[in-house]
Amino acid sequence: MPGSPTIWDDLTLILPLIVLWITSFVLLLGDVVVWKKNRDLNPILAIVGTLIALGIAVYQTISLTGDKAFARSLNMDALAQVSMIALLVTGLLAILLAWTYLKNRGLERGEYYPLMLLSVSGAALMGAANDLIVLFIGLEILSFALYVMAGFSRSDIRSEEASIKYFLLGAFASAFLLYGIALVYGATQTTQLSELASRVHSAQTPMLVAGIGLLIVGLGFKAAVIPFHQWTPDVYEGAPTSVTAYMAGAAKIAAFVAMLRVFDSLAPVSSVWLGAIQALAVLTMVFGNLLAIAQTNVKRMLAYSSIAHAGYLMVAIATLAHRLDGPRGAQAGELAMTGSLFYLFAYTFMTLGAFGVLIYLSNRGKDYQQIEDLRGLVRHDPRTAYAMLFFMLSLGGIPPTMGFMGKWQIFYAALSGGEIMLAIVMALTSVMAAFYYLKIVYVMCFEEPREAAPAPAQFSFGASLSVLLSAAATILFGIMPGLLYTLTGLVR
Amino acid sequence: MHELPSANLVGLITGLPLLGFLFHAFFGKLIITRMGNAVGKRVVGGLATALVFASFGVSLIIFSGLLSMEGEHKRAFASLIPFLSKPVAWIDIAGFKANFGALVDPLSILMCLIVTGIGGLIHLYATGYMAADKDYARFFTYMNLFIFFMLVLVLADNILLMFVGWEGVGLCSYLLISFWYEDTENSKAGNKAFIVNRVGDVGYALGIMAIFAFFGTLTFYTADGKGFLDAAIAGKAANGADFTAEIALVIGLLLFVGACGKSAQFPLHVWLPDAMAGPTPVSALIHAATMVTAGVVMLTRMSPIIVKSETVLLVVAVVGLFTAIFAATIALTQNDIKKVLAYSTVSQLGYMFLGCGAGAFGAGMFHVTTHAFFKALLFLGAGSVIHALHHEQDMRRMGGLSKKIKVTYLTMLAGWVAICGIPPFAGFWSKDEILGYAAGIHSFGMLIYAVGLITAALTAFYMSRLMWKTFWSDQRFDEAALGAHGHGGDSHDALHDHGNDAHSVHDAQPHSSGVKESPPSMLVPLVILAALSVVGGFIGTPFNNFFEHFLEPSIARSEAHHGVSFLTGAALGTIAAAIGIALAYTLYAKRRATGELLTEAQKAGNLLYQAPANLWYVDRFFYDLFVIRGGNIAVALWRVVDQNIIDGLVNAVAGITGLFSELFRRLQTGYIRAYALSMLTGVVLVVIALLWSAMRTMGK
Amino acid sequence: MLGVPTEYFLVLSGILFTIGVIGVLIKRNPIVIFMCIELMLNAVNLTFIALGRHFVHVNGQMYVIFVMAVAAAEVAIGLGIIVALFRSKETINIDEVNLMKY
Repeated sequence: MPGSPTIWDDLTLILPLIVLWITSFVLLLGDVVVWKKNRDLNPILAIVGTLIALGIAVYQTISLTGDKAFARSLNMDALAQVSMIALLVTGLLAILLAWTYLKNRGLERGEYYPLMLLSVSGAALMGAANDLIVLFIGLEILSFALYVMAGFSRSDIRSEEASIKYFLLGAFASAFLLYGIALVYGATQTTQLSELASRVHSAQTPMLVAGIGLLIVGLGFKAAVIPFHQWTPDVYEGAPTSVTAYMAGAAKIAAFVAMLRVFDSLAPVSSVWLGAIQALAVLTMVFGNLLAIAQTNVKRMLAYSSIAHAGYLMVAIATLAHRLDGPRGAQAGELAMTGSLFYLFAYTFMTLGAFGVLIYLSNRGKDYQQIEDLRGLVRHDPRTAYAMLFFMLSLGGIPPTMGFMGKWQIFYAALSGGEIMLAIVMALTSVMAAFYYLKIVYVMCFEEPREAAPAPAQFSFGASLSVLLSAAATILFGIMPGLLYTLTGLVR
Repeated sequence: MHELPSANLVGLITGLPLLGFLFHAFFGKLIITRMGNAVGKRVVGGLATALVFASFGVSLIIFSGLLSMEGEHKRAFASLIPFLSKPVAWIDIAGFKANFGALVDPLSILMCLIVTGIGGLIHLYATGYMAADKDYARFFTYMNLFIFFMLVLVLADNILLMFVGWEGVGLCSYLLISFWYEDTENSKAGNKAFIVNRVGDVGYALGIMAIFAFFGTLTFYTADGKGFLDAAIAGKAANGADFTAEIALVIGLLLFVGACGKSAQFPLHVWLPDAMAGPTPVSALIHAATMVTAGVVMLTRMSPIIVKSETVLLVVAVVGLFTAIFAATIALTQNDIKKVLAYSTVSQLGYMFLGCGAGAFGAGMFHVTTHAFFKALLFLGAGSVIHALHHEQDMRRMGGLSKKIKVTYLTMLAGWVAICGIPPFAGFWSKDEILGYAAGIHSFGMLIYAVGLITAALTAFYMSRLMWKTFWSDQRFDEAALGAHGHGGDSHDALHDHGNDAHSVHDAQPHSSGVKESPPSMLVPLVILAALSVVGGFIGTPFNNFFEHFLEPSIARSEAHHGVSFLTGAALGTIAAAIGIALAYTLYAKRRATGELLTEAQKAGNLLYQAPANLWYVDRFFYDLFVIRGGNIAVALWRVVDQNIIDGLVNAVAGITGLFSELFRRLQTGYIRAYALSMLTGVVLVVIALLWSAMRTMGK
Repeated sequence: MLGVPTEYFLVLSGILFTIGVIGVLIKRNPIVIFMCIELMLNAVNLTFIALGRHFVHVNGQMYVIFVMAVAAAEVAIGLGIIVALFRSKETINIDEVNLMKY
C-alpha cells in the first residue's frame, strides 16, 4: 500500500461501527430532546442506521479492503467483516422483534435501541480484535449493554433477577479473562494475536499455560460452555424475550468469532489446550442437550439448546487445533473456520426466528413462554405454527434446513481433522436434541388446544417481518447453502 | 444432433409446479375468500391443473428433443433452474460436490411424462372431487408441491438431490394422508406412513454415504464420464479401486431397503393400506401411480450397481415375488373398496420389483407405466363410486351399480380387464414381460414363474370379486336413504376402515339423495385413463418393443433373458387370468343377492380366511412390539419422570434420558454463589488440565 | 533494575485475586461481592503494571488505564442494577434472588 496509513484510513475501515455509534447518540439525544413522544421514530432510525452500517460492511467485504488498523490492534480481515455482517443482521432482526413487543409492555424507553446498537459495535470489535485488550474492551461493551437490557423490564422481578445474575457472574468471568490476558502478556511480552502466533511456541511456561486456561474460561462464559453456563437459562428466562433473542444471537457470534481468532493464534501450542477444549465440548454437548429435555419453559429450553449449540461449535474450535498438522489438517482447519461461521449465521437465524415466534404470539396480551402455551397452535394459527416447526427442525439439524447444513459442515470438518470421538458425540447428542425440538412440534401439531382459541394475534409488522426473514433465510440457505458459502468462504 | 434442443426449458418442468405451490400457499386462500367460493375455487383448481399440464407440455417438448438426439447415450445435462442451460453448484465443499442439475435421459423423461400427465388428469379430477372442501386451496398447494418434489426426484442428476425429492414426496404424502387432520385416525395413518418410511430412509441415507465413501462422488453421470454410475459401468472407482461384487452388495442392499420403504415392499408395506385415509385423488396419484413407484425408479437408475451383485438381484426378486402373492391374498378378504385396491397396489409393486430382480429393469418400468394408467383409473373410478354412494366405501353395501353409473362402470371395466392381464390390454403386456424374464432367473426360474402365475390368477380373482360386489350383484343398499345419513361413522369396519373419505363431496350437495353420476371434470380423466389402459400396452409389445428400446440407454445391460417363449407365456398368463375370473364367476354368480362367499360364521372358523383378513398379523405384530410393549415400559418411566414426551418405542430411551435430565437440572439451584462456585471449579479443572497436558508434552 | 523483584508483585497480585474470588463466593451482599470483583480487577492491574515495569514496556501500564475505565463503567452499571433490584425486592441479600432455577 503506498504511503503509510493515516488515521483516516483506519477510521474508514471501521466506518460501520462509527455509523452505529453516531446513530446511537442521535437516538439518545433525540429521544430526550427532539421528538420525545414519537416513540416509533426510535426503531425506525435504529433500523436505518443499522442498514447503512450493513451496506457499508457488505461493500467493504466485497471489495476486500480489509487490513490491520489502529497500530495493528484491529484486524479488519474477512473474518471480522463477515462476522460484522452477521452481527448487523442479528441486530436488524432484533430491532424488528423489539418494536411492538416493547410498545405493548410500556417498555418503550429511549435507551433500548442505543444500547443494542452499542452492544453490536462491541461484539463487532470482539470479532475484529487483533489485540487481547481490544477483545476485552469489546466484550465489556457488549456485556454492559446486555446487563442493562436484561433488566430492562424494571417492574418485573424476574427481569431484575436476570440482570443481577448476569452482571455479577459476567463481571466475575471477565476478571478471569483479564487475568488470563495479563498472564499471556507476562509469558510472551505481547497481547497482539498476530504476534502471539509466532511467539507462543518458544514461551511455553506455566504462566502461559495458566493464562490460556483463564482465556478459555472467560470466553467460555460468554459462549455458555459448561461448566460456565449456569447463568444462561436464568438470564434467558428472565430477560424480556426481545432481549433474549438478541442476546442469544449476538453474544454467541461474538464469543465464537473471538475464540476462533484466539485459538487460531494459539494453534502452535495446541497440544496444551486441545484436551481441555475436547472435554469441554463433550460436556457441553451432552449436558446441554440432556438438560434441555426436562424443560417446560420454551425460553429456558432454548437457553439449554444454545448451550448445546455452543458445544457443537466447540468441536470446530477443537478441529482448529489440527490446523498446522499437514495439508489435511490445514484443510480441516479451514473447514472448521468457514463451517463455524456458516453455523453462526444459521444459529442466529433460527434462534431469532424461534424467539420471534414467541414474541409474535405474545402480542395476544399474555406472554407466551411455556411449552403448554403452544399446545395445538396449528389449529388456530397454522402459519405461525409452521414457522415454528421449521425453526425447530432447523435447530434439531434435520435436513433440508440451514441448521443441518451448518452442523454437517462442522461434522465433516471434525471428521477430516481426525476428531472422530467428538464427531461421534456430536451425532449422538444431535439425536438427543431431536427429542426436545420435536416435543414442541408434537405439542403444536398433534395435541388439542386446552382452551378455546385466543383472539388472533394483533398484527405486528416488526415481528412478522423478522420471523418471515428468518424463515426465508433458514429455508433458502438450507436448500441453496452455496449462496452463503460465497460469503463464509472468504474466511480462509 | 448431439446436444439436447431447448435444454434451457428443463427447469420449467419443475419450475411450473413450484410456482403453483408458492402461489397457492400465499394467495390460494385469499383468492377463494375474495372471489367467492364458486369462482375462487375454479380459479385455484384450474390454475393448479393448468400448471401441471403446462409442465406436461414442456416434458413433451424435451421428450421429442431427446428422440431427435443422436448417439448411443441419449443423455443431456441441464439445470433445474428455468432458462439456464448449465447446472449450478448446489453444494461444493472439500470435494463433496452436488449440482442443482437435471439429468435428462429416457428414464427421467418417461417419469416426467407419467408424473405430469397422470398428475394433471388427477388434478383435473380433484377439482370436481374436492369441490366442496373447505381446505380446497391447501389441498392444491400440497398437490403442486408433491408434483414438484416428484419431478425433482426423477430429474435429479445426483443421488443427494434425488434424496431431497425423495424426502419431499414423503413429506407431501404425510401431509396429504392426514389432510383431514380433525380425524385422529387420519393423523395416525399419516404418522404411520411417516415413521415406516423413515426406516427405509435410513437405508437410503447409508447407501448414499457408502456411495460417496467408495466412489468419491454423488453425481450419477457426467459429460466426461466421471459420475459414479459411469464408474460402476467401467468397473473402477476414480481412485482406481475395483468395483467388486461385495461393494455392490453393500450399496445395493442399503438402497434396496430405501426402495422397500417407499415402494411398500414386505415388511415395510404396512403403511400403504392405511395411507388410503387420504382423499381418493391422493391415493390415485401418490399411493398408486407415482410416489410408490419411486423405489422401482431408483433401482432402475442404480441398475449399473445392482446388476453387479447376483445376491442383490436375487433378494430383490424374492422380496418382490413374496410381496406380490402375500398382498394378493390379503386383497381377497378386504371389504373396503379402497383397501382392495391398496393391497392390489402393493402386490403389483411386488411384480415390478420382481422384474428388477430378474435384471429386466425395462420390463419393471413398463409395468410402472401401465400400472400408472390402470391403477390410477381404478382408484379414480372407486372414488367416483364412493362419490355416487355418498361416501360409502364398504363393498358389502354396494352392488347393482352397473346400470346406475354407466360411465364409471364402463371405465372401471377397462381397468379391470387391464389389471387382470387379458390380452391385448395394457396390464397383459407388462405382466407377461416381467413373468417371462422371471422365468429366466437361474435354474429355479420356473418356480418363480409358477408363483407369479398363481398371483396373476389371484389378482384376476380379487378384481373380479370387486367388480362383482360393486357392479354386478344385486343392489344391497337403500337408495332413498343415501345422502341422508351422517358422515360415515356408522359404516366402519372397526379395525381398518377410515370411512370418512369423500365427506367433502357429500357436503357439496347436502340435500340430494340417490345414486348420482359424477360431474364431467371427474369423468373426463376417467375416460382418458380408460383409453390408455386399453391401448397403452401397445408401446411395449414383444413384436415392436418401442418402450424398452427407448429406455435402453438408461439401463445397465444384464443377463436377463426370457425363460419361456412369448406364445407360451401369453397362453399361460391368459389361462391364469381366465381361471381367476371363472372362479370368481362360478362362486359369486350363485350368490347374487348377498355378494358374500362365506357366511360370517364360516369366516370366523376358517383360518385360511382369518389369516389374510387380519393382514397376516404383520400390522398386529408391529403394533404389539413397538406400540404396546414399548409403550408400557415408557409409561412406567413417565410416571417417575412426570413428563410428556413423544410416545412409542423411543419412550424407553427418552424416559431414561428424561430422568437424568431431571436429576441434573437440580444442580441449577438458582443461587448466584453456587453458580460462581461451579465456574470456579471449572477454572481450577481447566487450568489443572492444561498444566497437566503441557507437562506431558514437555516431558516428551 | 533496583528495588522489589517482579515476582513479589506477581505473587501479591495472585493473593489479592484469590481473596477477591473467595469474597465473591462467600459474601451475600451484592455490593460487597462487587467490591471483591473490583479487587480481582485491581489485582490484575497490579500484574500489568509489574510486568510493564519488568519488560520496560509502556503497554503494560497503558492497559491499566483501559481497565480502570472499564471498571468505572462497570461500577455505574452495577450500582444501577443493584439499586433497581433493591427497589423491587426490598432486599439485597442475593440468596433471596432465586426465583428462577432448574
